[in-house]
Order: sequence, then C-alpha cells, then structure tokens
Amino acid sequence: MDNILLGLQSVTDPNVILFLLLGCVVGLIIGALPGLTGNMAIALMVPLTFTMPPNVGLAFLVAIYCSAIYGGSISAILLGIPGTISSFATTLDGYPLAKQGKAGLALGTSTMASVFGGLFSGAVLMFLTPVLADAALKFGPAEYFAVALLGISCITSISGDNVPKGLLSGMLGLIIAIIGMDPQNGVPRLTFGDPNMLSGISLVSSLIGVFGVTSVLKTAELCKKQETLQKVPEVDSVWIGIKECIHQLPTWIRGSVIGTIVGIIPGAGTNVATFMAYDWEKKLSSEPETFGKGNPLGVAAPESANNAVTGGSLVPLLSLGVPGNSTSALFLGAIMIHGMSTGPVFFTDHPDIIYGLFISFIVANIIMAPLGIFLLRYMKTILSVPEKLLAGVILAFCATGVFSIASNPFDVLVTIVFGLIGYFFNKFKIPTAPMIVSMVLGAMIEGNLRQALVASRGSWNFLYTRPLTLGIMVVAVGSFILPFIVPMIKRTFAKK
Amino acid sequence: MMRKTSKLALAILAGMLMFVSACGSKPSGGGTGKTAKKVNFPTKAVDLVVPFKPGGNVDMCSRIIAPVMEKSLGQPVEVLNKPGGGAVIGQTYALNAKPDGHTVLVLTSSFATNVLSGNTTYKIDSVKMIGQMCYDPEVLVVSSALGVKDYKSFLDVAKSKELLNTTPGFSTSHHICSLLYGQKTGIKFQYMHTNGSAEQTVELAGGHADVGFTTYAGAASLIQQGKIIPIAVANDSRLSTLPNVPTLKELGLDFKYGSYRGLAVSSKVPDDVVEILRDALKKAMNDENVKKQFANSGLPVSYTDGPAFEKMVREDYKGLESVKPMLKK
Repeated sequence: MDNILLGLQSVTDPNVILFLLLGCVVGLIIGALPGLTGNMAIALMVPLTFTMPPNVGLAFLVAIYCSAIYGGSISAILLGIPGTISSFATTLDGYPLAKQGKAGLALGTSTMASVFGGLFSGAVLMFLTPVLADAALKFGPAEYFAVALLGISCITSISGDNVPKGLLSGMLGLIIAIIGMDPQNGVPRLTFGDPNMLSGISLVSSLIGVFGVTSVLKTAELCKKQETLQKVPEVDSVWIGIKECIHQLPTWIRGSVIGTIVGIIPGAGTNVATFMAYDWEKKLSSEPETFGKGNPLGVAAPESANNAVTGGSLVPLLSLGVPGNSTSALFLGAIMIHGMSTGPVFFTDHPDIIYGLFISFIVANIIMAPLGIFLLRYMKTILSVPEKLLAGVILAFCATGVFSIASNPFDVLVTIVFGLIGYFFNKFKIPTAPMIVSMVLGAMIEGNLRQALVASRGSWNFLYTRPLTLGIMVVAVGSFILPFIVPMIKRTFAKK
Repeated sequence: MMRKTSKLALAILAGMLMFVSACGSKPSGGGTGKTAKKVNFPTKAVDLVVPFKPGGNVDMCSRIIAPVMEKSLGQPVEVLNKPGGGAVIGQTYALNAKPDGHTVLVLTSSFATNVLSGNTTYKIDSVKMIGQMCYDPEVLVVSSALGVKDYKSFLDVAKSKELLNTTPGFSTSHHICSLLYGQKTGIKFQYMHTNGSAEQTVELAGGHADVGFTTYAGAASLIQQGKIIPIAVANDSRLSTLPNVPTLKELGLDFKYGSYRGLAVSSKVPDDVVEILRDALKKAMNDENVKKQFANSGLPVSYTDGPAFEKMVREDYKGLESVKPMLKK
C-alpha cells in the first residue's frame, strides 16, 4: 500500500501528467494512421526519454503504448482499414457497423472496451505481477505451438457462410507464411533470390493492401454507377450510454481475461489474443450469424483484449526481466538506460519508479476515454466525405504509412500486390480474413512446432505427454470443428 | 453542412499527413560547419544505417552516439532503420549508397556471417571501418534445471549426452560461437533456434533447453534470479559484471568469441573523409555521458580504432570459414 502511495506521489508531478496527456494524443493519432504502429512511435520516442527523469519518460511511453492500440480501432471502424494487426479483428464488425450508420456505436464500444481492458490488465499488473512471473516460464515451444493453433482455429468461424472457401484462403495464407528464411536451418524458401523476401512478407504491408487498396479498387469500380455513392450514412453519438455498457460488460471481462493471459505469455502477442477473443465471443453468442455483419460485441471483444495485452505484456518484463513482446523490449531499453535493472530487484530498489509506472498506466487508460470521445466527435465526420473523394487520400495514406515502416519501397509493392489479391478474392467471394490470420500465425506455428520437435528429438509425443500442451490442443481442435458440428447437431434435432 | 464537414475532415487529414512526414525526419539541429578541414565533409546530414528494427541494442547504441557525433561533425546525424533479410537489406543499402561518407553502416557480427553465406553483393573487404563501439564476450550459460553448477560437471554431462542448445536464430553470433566451441571441444549439441535473445533466455530459464551461449546484458536479470547459471566466459579476462565466473582460458581451453558493433563505410569512400568520421566516433566514444549510457544498457564501451577493428573483423571472418560447411548443410 505504501508503494502505491509512492507511485501516486510520482504521478502528481505536473510533468508526468503533461507527458501522459501528450503520449495519449500522440499514440491515438499514430495508432489511427494505417501502417504506423505504437511500436514504431515508442521506438522513436525512447531516445527522447534518455534525458527525462525516469518516471516522466516511462509515463510518456506507457501512454503511447495504451492509446496507440486503441487508436488502431479508429481507422479499422471508420475506413475499414486496420492500421495494425491488433485491430484487424475489430474491422470485421466495426466497419459493417459504420456502413449501417452506427459508427458512433462502434467507436463508443471500442473506446469503452479499450479502457476497460486497459484498466483490468493494469490492476493485474499492479497486484499480481510477482505471482504470475513463474507461470510465464512454464510455456515452452510445445505450449506456444498449441496456443498458436488455438489462435488459428478461429478461421473456420470467420470464414463466413462458405467454410471451404475460407479454408482455401487460410491455406493460401499458410503458404505465404512459408516465404523467407527457414527458421531452423537458414535455407531461403520461395524468395527468388531477393533479399527483400528473406525475412518474409511484411504483415502490416499485406494487411493494408488487402483492406486499404482493395477498398479503393472497389470504390473505383462503383464510381461508374452514380446512384450508389449519393447516400451519406448517418452518424450517431459516440457515447454509448450506461445501459449498453452494462450489456457489454460480460464481453469486456472475457476479452480482458483472454488479453491479459495471452499478454503474459512471452512472445504470444497481441494478435492471438484478438483472434481468440473475437472467436470465443462469436461461439458463446446466441446469435453467431450476426457476427461479421455489424455486432457491437464483435468490436467489444477484440478491443478489450488488445488493450488488456498491454498490461499483460509488461508482467514478464518487470518480474523476470524478459520482454513479452517487441514493445515491452523497448521499455526494457528505456528502463536500463537510467541504470535500473528489471526483474525482482526493480521492485525492491526502485519502488517509486515501478509503482509510478503502474499508476501512470492506469491514469493513461482513464485519460484515453474522454480524449477519444472528444476527438472522435470530429473524426467520425470523415464518413460524410463521399467515398470517391476519400479514396485517393486513403491510397496516399496507405502508401506513405507502409513506406515509413522500414523506408523500403519493396513494402509498398507488397501492399499493391496484396491489394490486387484482395480484389480478386472479393470478386470470387473468398473471405480474406482467414488468409490474414494464417499469415500472422503461420510463422509462429511452424517455428514452435519445429523447435518442439528438436527438443523431443523428433518425437511427436510432446503433444500428449505435456498436460498444458494437451489441454490447449484439445480446446483448439474443438474450436476448429465446432462450426461444422453445431449445424449437424441442430439438423439432427430438427428432424426429430 | 456537407461542404463544411468535408472541409473539416480534409483539414484533419492534412494535419495527419504533416504529422506522418514529421515522424519520418527529425528536425535538423543547428551547427556551424567546420570549414578549416581539408575536405569539405560533411556537407549534409549523415545517415547511420541500422540494419535492424528500431529499439534493439544496435539501434540504441546508434541513437546514443548520433547526437554526440552531430556536435563534432557540425551536421545532423540521423539514424535510419533498414530492417529485414537478416540485416542483408540494410547492409546492401548502405554499401550501395553514393560513397561520399554521408551513409554510414552500423556494422555488427552479422556482416561477416552474411558474407559467409555467399548470397550478398558485398565482400568482407567492401568496407572501411570507422571504429568499434562495443564488444560483448560470449558467456556459456545453462538452465538451472540441468543441475550443473560448474564447468567440470558441465563437461561430464555434455560428453555423456547431446544437450539441447538454444540460440537466438540460425547463424547468429551465439549460434556461430556454439559451433566453433563444439568444433574445438568435440562436444555435440542439438540446436533449437528461436526468434531472438529474449526467447532464447526464456527457453533456458523455463528449463525448455539445456545450454546456450549468450551475452551478459540480455540474461542479466535471469542470472541474478538464479534461473540461468553462467558457467564460463569466452574471453581472455573475466567480466567486471560476472567476477566469479572463470574464463575458458583459465579452464584450459583457448577459446575466445564475442559479438561486436561498430561503424563502417563503403571501401570507395575517400580516406580523408574516413578520417573525419573516425575522429568524430573517437570523440563520441570518449564522452562521459555516452560511456555512462552504454554501461547502463549493459553494453560497456570497448572502443577500438578503425584499423584495429578492421583487422579483428577479418580475423573473425577467417575463423568462420571453418564452420561454413555446418551452416550450409
């Protein structure tokens, strides 16, 4: 308790408050721009914090981290372009909602769910960090493989009406995930001798191609038919009201729990959490057919999950000194530069800094809500711009955003190619979501499976001799085949 | 109403666009060019090309020295990240740029291993070295789950069965070090390659792998917690950070290996320009603040000048050629 007071004291510093606010604004804008990620923003800001007092610097970074993840949902909902992979699942229901004139509901849901997820994981971070640290180490390659499999099992449920076409799309994604250097013996695969392909196809570039460029192509096609572009969708209020909040609360809690747990496992990543949260929400729903067509719960689940990951990912960093994902690795640098080390000694040597970080984390999430609702009142008017005018600007944004990731023109080419792929998928009514999910998780599945096989000297027995692996595997297989079985059961009962 | 809102939206978009472009380039700091020098260099901003994503150790080193070099060069020094392709993309970019010294490569151990792979457009002598910033000796560590506390008992176990060796990735310096060590001692390992040193240390700490070579900074916290046990250091002298851990030399094995970071330019850059850059790096590495920030990040400065660094990298490359068949199988 004394430590929490120490943390509170550090946050009352006006500089901390100022940089929290600044961090939230920067994060929100960076997150909302397609291609620019919070990770990149933090990497560029870390050197600025070298000269700041540690509590101010960390507050600044933590605010960017939280609000950039939230900001990603804005372009996902308003434009149908997920700025980062973590807001990809939000697009599935957020964009249809915006099309129906319920952009306010979608944005409001994402705001409240994000804040809830952030606060939930913040509380876990503050009170349970030392307890959870050792659990994180229980995860070896076999367990990671099972977790990734659980993540990818959702492709059957996000395939829409046509599961075979969804599986086709998923398999194509897995093939694309093979491109690059073999993780265990360094052999280049499907790279055609081009060094740009050695590290594989950039996920963000292809994501923006499939969503951004494809939607621009579709708009271009529709421009011939004048009628369709005349209607401007109505925009409702961003504040969703207490009643809706209470209605969504169970979803938020489920999303937050999934996000926090997955966040704590080092290396599992935000992406798995959002896929899992979306998928489970759909499976638990009494009306799963409304998902993908504009169900607010389809926004609430991934948004609470991706913000819950933020807190979870800091747990292994602070308690073990091991970064849980690439963003928390940046925090490690920012902490070490001030001569402090992470791990258990951090708690005993610098309680003011670490509890200051926890309180800053929570305050950043609280600032995010009013800030988001205020800014979104203006941002949502973007919907009233006719699509054909917006399309060019979107294309320019996609190109600059993708180029800025690694200042490599090859990435822009990837975006264009995937834009065309997305367009043809659309023409043949093949869902693109399974392809994206497979591309994101393909490398994780392959890498960990092969590591596990090396560790077991080539034997597959790790699949059933390790209880944790077995447990997760069973859930994954169940989750994969459930969408086939449920209709079968329903049919059998209907006959009787 | 329609017009007004679209204008507003466009204004917001324009604002965002400005922000994007602002993110890309740092505002150029002032500075008065020192005209007293023989050659007119630098005449514009100098790019430090980091062939990795922002945020790693290499990126961090570069960002620490950039503002200090800026002061002595009198022109902005900017860090440019060109990640991907196992650092090949960034290295190729830096060495193919106009050889006027305004594009400097942040050179790491991966340069030699990439050349070794034979798939690069550059050779080991395609660069002139500016100098070495830091050198991290490799540390042999084991998982606490292995139940081994010293080198002697480690040898007993390692010779009786093939231990599971984890690395941060295929052909990384930790992997090469293990191969060279195995070659020297005749010990065989089973290799499990992960994606980066964070994953590698977690595998060891969780007992999912037995042994590995790593550098101190990344494993420091887990070593302090006793989850990873350092057994020996592949260096001539003991590390100040691990005073109780013997060197392999003390244990009777003449084996030394480490990963290095430094600066280099294309070999086509004129010598007097190289000298100016060497001076600027030397000054930066002697700066007290730089030394402190490096040490805090667990990367103690071990500066050597251009010619010495060049000699070291070439020798490293020669040593690597003996493990080439193992990397190419």
